Amino acid sequence: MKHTTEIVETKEANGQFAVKIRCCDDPNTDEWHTVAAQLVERGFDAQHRLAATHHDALLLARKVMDTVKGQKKENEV
Amino acid sequence: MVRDFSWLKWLQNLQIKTADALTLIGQIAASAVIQGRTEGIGTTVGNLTSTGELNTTDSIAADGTGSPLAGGVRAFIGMESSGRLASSFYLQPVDASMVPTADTSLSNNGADTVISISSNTMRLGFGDVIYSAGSVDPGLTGTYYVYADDPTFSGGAVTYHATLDGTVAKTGATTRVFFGAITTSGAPTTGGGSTGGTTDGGNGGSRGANLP
Repeated sequence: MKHTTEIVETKEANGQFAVKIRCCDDPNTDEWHTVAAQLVERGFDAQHRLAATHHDALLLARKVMDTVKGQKKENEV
Repeated sequence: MVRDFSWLKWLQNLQIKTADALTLIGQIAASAVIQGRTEGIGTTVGNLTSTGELNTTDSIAADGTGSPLAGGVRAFIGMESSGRLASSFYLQPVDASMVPTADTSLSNNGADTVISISSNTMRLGFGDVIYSAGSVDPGLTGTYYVYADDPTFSGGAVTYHATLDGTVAKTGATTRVFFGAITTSGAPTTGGGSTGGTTDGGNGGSRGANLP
């Protein structure tokens, strides 16, 4: 599934730099990703990917959860 | 015979002065104004009881030195009647006992130096605090201690940090929440949570027994 991520906020804290990444325009997906100062120039591709991965996993989990209500199982103990 | 009516003039003046200040039965009128002020005395003393006490602390115009009123409100909210804190929610995070509910919360794929933090829950005496996922990239491999600052136990999206110094991560600030340690090495590893994952030394997120 395609996820569009966006850096919506940046900050410097405790000598490290952080970006807040939002996925699919959903504020509930906001995550902070922190990098050491020397890595800032490298960009944030890995962080975008990670945020998208987390969102994807969340959506998959929700789909599963939608199906479990009413689930019955016979258990032999 | 010349009659002297100066006493009558005096009485008239007296009547003018006292008409607005006294009632017909000799009481001070509520509309009487104290010299130098504009409101009636009824307003001036309206917040006093019949024994001269202030009827409520809400009638105190301003908090004084040391902010005893604001301090009292804080104490009322955060403390129980015996003087103890009402709950661990009112502790500084660095002083609060907390245990991660997940086995692990930190991971590294072995291909880069990014430490991924999964959405995770810290269990405290007052309840659970849920933290959003995130990551921190220290740029090098090694044993890193992951923390965030959350002064009000708000949870949600916090800014994760990584440090090689476990003391900084656990007790570096009163607002500190410690998520555990992970050793990154070029192979996939896990850490944090209640078990410490594959990171040697059982560096679970709970603060206390596992000082570096």
